[in-house]
Amino acid sequence: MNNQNTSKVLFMTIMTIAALLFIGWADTLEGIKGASAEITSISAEFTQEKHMKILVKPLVSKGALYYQSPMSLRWEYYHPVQSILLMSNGKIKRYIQRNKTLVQDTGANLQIMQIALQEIARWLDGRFDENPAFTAHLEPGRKIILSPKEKSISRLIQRIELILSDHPGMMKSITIFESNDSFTKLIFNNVVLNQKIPESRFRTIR
Amino acid sequence: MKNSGLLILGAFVVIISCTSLPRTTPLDAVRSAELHNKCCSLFLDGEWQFVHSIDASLPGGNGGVILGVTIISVPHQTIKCVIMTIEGFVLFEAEYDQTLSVTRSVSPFDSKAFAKALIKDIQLIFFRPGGKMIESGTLDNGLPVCRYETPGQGIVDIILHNDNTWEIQQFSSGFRLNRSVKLSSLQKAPYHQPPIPDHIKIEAHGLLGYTLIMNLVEAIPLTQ
Repeated sequence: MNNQNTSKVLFMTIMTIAALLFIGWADTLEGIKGASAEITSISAEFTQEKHMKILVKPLVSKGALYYQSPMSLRWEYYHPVQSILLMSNGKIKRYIQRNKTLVQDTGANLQIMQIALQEIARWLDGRFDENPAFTAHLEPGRKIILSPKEKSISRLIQRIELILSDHPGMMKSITIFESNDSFTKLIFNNVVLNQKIPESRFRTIR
Repeated sequence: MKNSGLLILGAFVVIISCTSLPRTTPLDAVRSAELHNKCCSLFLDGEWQFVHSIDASLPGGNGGVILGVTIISVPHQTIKCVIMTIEGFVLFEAEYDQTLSVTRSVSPFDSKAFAKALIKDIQLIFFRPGGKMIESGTLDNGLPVCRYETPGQGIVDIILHNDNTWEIQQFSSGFRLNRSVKLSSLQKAPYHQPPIPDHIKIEAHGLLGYTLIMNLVEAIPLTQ
């Protein structure tokens, strides 16, 4: 009986300490930024769901991301079309599957992707309020809402919702709303933090 | 100036002299009816949602890979379509229900001409030719062909190949080749059901010609 009580007390103490350690990190954007500073690298898989009013079921894409602080990122789709976006030292390259081989894309939307990748890298670094085009505010449930300041952007992106995971510094999902009934949701899973990622991952497609 | 005028006139004469429909050798009434049934059986019935990856080669060396979602209702002859980047960003969204309504369009997909051409391409690929069958027979290369005419819109040839592939050629009223579509279906369709094309190559001919290679990602029947 005594042993049982001791175990209960020990368990409660550990839980309280754990709770105290994590309380507060997601209360402010500054707190989140601080918690993200602990993260040097992220590897994760993602599922991308495209929801639209006209679709009977969402269009699902799958891929993986690799991030090395401060600004190296590999964003890769496996399905339905293989595509790899590489960002290293501020330079971006995009490879896409054409005729069953990966070819470098030099298309016009590369610039748009550069902006998008830089934004994602900022979020992964906990810097949610650094883009002057968006206003960031924190809502209950570890939800960060980014709202465009200018009409020219809000015509294309209504808002972005970032849900933080239980682990400080990592995101659970990103939802980009183009309108109320058209949105893209990215859900992250199999997350591995702070494990060394070879630099070549961000520079070559292999 | 005079020389360039002559050149244009010469080119015009060459173009005019080259525009004629491919010659056909007619079949007897029984075989003609069989062929007509075969041509009709290549087109789907009911309502479908398709997702394709589209490799586009556009004028001026532009192009890229995009995703296309097409929702068709054969009985109602309606179309809903979306073009998006692989990252899910919608570039174009439109509905056609005897009139065209574009709900979203981002450059370079923001012209009316593009929207109209896209709807016409989808109709050509997925809907049975609207007009009357005016000929059926074999081409000079021996391939069977069904020829349809829609008054004021031109001629559509459906050419059957022997290897689960078929071809749709669309000619203007002046018999100029406007579109060539090559379709293939690797999966054998269930008995008495039309094949679902899993690879489609559409070529738009002319000065602003383009090529789209469409690979099927997903086909969802919306009706039983």
